[in-house]
Amino acid sequence: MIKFDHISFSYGERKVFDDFTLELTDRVTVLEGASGSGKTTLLKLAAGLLEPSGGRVLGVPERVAFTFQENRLLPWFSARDNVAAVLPKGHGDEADVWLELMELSDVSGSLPGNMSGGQQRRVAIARALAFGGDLFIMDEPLKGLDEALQERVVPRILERAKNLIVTSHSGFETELWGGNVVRVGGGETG
Amino acid sequence: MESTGKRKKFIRGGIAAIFWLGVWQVAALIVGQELILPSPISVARALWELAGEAEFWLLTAKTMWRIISGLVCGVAIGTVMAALTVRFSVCDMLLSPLVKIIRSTPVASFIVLAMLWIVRTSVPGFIAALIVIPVVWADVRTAALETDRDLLEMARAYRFGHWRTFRYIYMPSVLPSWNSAFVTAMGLAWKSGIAAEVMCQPRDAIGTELMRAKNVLKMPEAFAWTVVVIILSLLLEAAFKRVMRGRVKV
Repeated sequence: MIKFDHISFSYGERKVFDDFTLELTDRVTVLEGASGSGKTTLLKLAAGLLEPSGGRVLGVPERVAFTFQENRLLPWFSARDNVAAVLPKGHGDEADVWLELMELSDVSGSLPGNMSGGQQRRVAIARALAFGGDLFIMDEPLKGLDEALQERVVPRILERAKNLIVTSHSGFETELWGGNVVRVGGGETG
Repeated sequence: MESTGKRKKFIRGGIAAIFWLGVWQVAALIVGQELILPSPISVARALWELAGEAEFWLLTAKTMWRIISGLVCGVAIGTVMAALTVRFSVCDMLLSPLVKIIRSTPVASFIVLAMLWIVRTSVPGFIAALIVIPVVWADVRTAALETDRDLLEMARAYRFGHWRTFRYIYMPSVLPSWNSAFVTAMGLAWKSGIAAEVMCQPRDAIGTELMRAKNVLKMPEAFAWTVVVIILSLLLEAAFKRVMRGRVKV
């Protein structure tokens, strides 16, 4: 269980959370909310990438795999090396397994700049899966993937993620993820 | 395709060289005094004669050693200083003004002071290093400060640690700037190093020979030594670019 316990956070003058409390008890939580509602901020607070100015985030496991809203791939490394970068020394070969899982074997040697947006997105997902951990936090992981690919990729992620917090922008995506849907900035929906 | 491009570049360079040699030859004919402006042919003859002497190769090697060692030290110090100023604000506070002072001080002042502080043969290398430091420091520091914040956050999320963050993010981000700073530094090291040799007159040095040739009014020889410096500088730059090819991010 992850608990945002009376947290406050602001970007300069702009207050995003003020004495906000939320408990995530399900294995899979889908965050929904309008753009700017604070979904990404919430994910970063959970991962410890941002520090709340007040309150605490409790129950976050030691190892968290994070997929950012942007792909954030190393532009000078191939897809394979981007995945291998998060693996322990000597385990670089495992990168191929994760790329294959994301149907990227044919572009494993390509630089991100030479790949499509959807391919880059899947490299970012493969990197998170390769890193592993007890919690997966994914910010719009299906961005840029067509529906057929989304249908193939989501079960593979769900199969491997012990716990997952994910943001979604469409009903189709939310349905694919299943789990508990939480509306940020508008109360829990179910 | 690539070889055609190279050939084209070579031909263009050759045409430019022939053109300027022609201009030089015409200018020398117009001036008509070898003492003021020797012709390219007499300079080539002087260079040929110099190259036939063992001493020429010895003192060329010694000058190269002095300047390259100064260049390498300067680049290393400039790089480390840039890393320190980016990483620790106290280093930035202490080192930044020092580097700015070095950058603003005339080379001649440093040469005169260095002649008082250290042995004569070490002055050219010392000066080359001193001139190179601010160039490398400024370029590397700027590139490091402009490193993509998003990638650094990603490195934090995936627990890259110091070494992986340096190796996978900072190094590829800084390398193109470091590379161009090195090329600029190389040119500056040669100019300042030879100037230091001319002023402090160490034994077995191109600068010393340049000054001697001027003093005994052997102008073709003075020009020949200058040509040697230019050729060495260009050769080293080409060698460096060859070594670095493919190691800089596109």
